[in-house]
Amino acid sequence: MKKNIEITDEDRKVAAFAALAIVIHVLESGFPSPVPGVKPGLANIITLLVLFRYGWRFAAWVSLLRVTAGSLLLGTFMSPTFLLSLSGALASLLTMWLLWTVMRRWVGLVGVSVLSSISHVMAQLFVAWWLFIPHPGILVLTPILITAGILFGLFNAIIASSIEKRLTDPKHNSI
Amino acid sequence: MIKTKIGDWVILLFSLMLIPLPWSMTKQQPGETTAINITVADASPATYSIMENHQIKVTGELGDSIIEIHDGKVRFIHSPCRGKICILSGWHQQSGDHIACLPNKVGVSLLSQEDRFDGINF
Repeated sequence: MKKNIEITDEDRKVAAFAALAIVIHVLESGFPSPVPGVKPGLANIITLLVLFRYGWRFAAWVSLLRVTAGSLLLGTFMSPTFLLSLSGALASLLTMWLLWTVMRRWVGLVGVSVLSSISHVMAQLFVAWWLFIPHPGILVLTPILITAGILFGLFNAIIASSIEKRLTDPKHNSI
Repeated sequence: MIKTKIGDWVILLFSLMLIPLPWSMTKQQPGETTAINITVADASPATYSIMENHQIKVTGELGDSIIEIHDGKVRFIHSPCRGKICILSGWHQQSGDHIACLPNKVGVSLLSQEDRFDGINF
């Protein structure tokens, strides 16, 4: 029996955006960081753009594909790194869902990026404390991670919004 | 210029204002240590509460060591040993920590109600 799997236009777009996000994710993992856990999360620029262009379901696909495929490429699949990455992605997707369904009229790229970045950090800290380092010492990292999360959330939103501006410009519009 | 909506500014302002909060919260990390065990040579450990400030004199292999408990922290203030590593290691308050004077065979362990792992690695 032959099953037809129809590949829709949407699937192709998800794959293309996920591929972009994966490349950024893998490149970023090669950059050194002064504090463990602090990194800009540039791949989320793609998630943000996709959220604002195509909606939450689309963004969730891109984000989860990025986490899974990115970890396969980096060799961290099913390791603590992967679980932390996944929990952060799930938490920020949940925040995005709330903002997207409830407060879409009042919130733009900056708000979504900053809030989802904070929830990303909080979820990771909680999972790290719960599963890997059940020691109050890990709380020392909280202020550093939250501050970095807010600043990088703003930074990503600025980049995403400048990309968004170019995408809406009819001269460059191809997607 | 970036396109923003009112909610963006509310979220941004609130998050920026909240930045100092976790910094101040983690600054004074209360040690969850509740008691200390002092072990001298091969004797069984004696337990002391960490709540009251006092000094404990114990006699080890070489002589008297004095251990001070103050505001939930513990340190050695006198030891007959040569290296004085126990004194130089300073105040300790995190549960699970240990201070030891090997020459004098005096050990101090910081205890808490629950025994937990320090960390897990893979």
